[in-house]
Amino acid sequence: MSVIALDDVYTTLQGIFRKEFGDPNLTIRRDMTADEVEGWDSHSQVTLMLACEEAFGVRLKTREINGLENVGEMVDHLIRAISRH
Amino acid sequence: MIAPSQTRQILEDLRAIDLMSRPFEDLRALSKQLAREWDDVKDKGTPIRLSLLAGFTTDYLTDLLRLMLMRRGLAAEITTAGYGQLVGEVLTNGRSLANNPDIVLILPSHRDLRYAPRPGCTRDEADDAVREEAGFWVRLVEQLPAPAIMLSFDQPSERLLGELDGFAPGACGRHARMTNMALFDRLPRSASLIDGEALQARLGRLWHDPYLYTLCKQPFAMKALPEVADTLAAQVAATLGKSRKVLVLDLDNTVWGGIVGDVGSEKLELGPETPEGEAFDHFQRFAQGLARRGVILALCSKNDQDIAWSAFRSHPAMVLKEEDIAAFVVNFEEKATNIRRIAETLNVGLDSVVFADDNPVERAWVHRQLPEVMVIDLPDNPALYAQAVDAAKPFPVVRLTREDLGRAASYKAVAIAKSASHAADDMDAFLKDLRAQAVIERIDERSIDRIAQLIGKTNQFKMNPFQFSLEELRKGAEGVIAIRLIDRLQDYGIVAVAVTDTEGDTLRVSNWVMSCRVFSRRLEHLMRQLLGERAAEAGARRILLTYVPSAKNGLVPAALAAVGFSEEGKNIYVSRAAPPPTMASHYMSVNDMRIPATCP
Repeated sequence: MSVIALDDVYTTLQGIFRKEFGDPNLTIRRDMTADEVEGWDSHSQVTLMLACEEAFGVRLKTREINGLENVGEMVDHLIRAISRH
Repeated sequence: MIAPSQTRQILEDLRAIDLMSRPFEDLRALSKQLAREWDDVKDKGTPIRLSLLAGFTTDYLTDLLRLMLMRRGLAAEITTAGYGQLVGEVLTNGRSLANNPDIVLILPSHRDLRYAPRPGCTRDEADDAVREEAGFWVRLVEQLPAPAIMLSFDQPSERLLGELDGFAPGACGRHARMTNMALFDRLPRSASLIDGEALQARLGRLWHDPYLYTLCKQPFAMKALPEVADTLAAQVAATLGKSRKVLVLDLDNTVWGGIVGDVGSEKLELGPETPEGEAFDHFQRFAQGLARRGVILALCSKNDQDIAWSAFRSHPAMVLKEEDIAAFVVNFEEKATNIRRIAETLNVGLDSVVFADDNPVERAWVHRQLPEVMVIDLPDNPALYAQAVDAAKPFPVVRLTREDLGRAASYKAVAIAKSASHAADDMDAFLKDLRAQAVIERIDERSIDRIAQLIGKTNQFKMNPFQFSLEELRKGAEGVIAIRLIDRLQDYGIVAVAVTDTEGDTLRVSNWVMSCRVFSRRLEHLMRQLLGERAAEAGARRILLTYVPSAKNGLVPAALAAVGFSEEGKNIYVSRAAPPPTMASHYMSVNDMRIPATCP
């Protein structure tokens, strides 16, 4: 099981969000939902997750990608996927 | 509303020469930025309306397609039908076709094949199935309100019959393949095909991404999108008559290996004897193939015209012949002017021109001066040149005509241009932008071999045939000036050398050479400045050198005149110590690595 700091996950994830939504000042929070971010729709959801998979070197399960409520859940899934590897 | 500078920035970004080799994430970010700022950018292209009907999700493709079209000068409004509505949309003349499109793109995949037979059927049954299949799609295309571009069927990801799948009656792979051939024969003249199997082959493992298909019904990987989009964009451009017409090639290290002005035509790398020679042979054959199917070839090179022509005529392995070439502009002027002249001569617009040159500085210059010209991002390895030109899809074809095949000849109004003025202001901006740094090298064992070699090998910018032994260079090291040039594109190594000594009030320059790789960079102005400084240090009031004309160094007298020398007696050139005040700036920062002579 690999060890990863939560801060690192947030920093990397924030970079992915900023690129996807074209906003260099976007700051993510655990309880941030799709409604709060302009352009965060089901299409962006897929590209976000693919970018995460590439950045963290993991494969997420399809059911983990569907039905995400907020950034916190994304982070939880990512950490789970990282520890699977 | 966004600032005009931001609009310019997007356009500049999406026209970048190396755009296609950038990471997918960057291209996606740029395409989304373009989508956000579309209203401010769209009037920078020719407006067209596209309708996109696919058997899969086109949500990701649309942004990239708009980007690739804009790169080709087309500002597209794109309407799409939802996933799975390809056929229904046509049959009901649906909403996505109602906006009077200029072109309809039909993008099915093998999943949309409707009459695929079962393994075990007879050949006749398989042939019937192909007829049915092709007939269905042809009727569909015939109902469209506008010219169509159809993607032919790809091969399925899994092959139930293994290696038989593409061949045996009843196999899906064969059905797709045979249907594609039937479509080519039967589609109306208003429609053209994109070869889906060739696209699939180019993209390899990116083509089928079953994971992504389950997620969002896009059958290929995200990383396949730029190539898919560019392929569609090229065919759209071709359908609108916007294929390019002219391929302008550099000579040295583009169509042959080596500098003909330096090594002479006998020593060029060309022909099957060496790997490099083979690579250039391949590229010439590719260019000739293009010429014979209607692309106009032109040559644009910084060279001596007679030397270049004689290489063309006399080298035994030369593939390209004079009759393949419609325009030949060989001189020492900057290439943007020369390319403009080629376009005028051939009576085509700059947006019909494609330029291939091994030198990244020439590419950057032409791209900057003539943004309409498509500049090919040639890789370092000449074996990959033909692929690089092909991958850029500069000459997409909808159908071949008799005129295409005869065009090369009709354009053969060979015009050789000789004189034009430099656009001085633009040249200055260009040189500044390169942020060149000149390193004045120490003369030590590491550099001395290269210095001797440069003096020996250079033929064009060279004062006279005098050479120096390593021993002579070591002894006279104090008077040797060697410059390495580095700019934001590359490190050229040591490219200019002057060997001097002082006698009374005279700084004598025994020889002065400069590599042709850095012509037009005003490096000779820097060297002239350094010679002036050297003279001042040594208490000399004048600088003297001997220019001995040869078959190859004819460009020297003009260069000398530009930096303040005049001929005083046969072959003797003299200047005051200080450079003339009229000498244009070289815009280089100077990094002096020499140990001052006073150091212990």
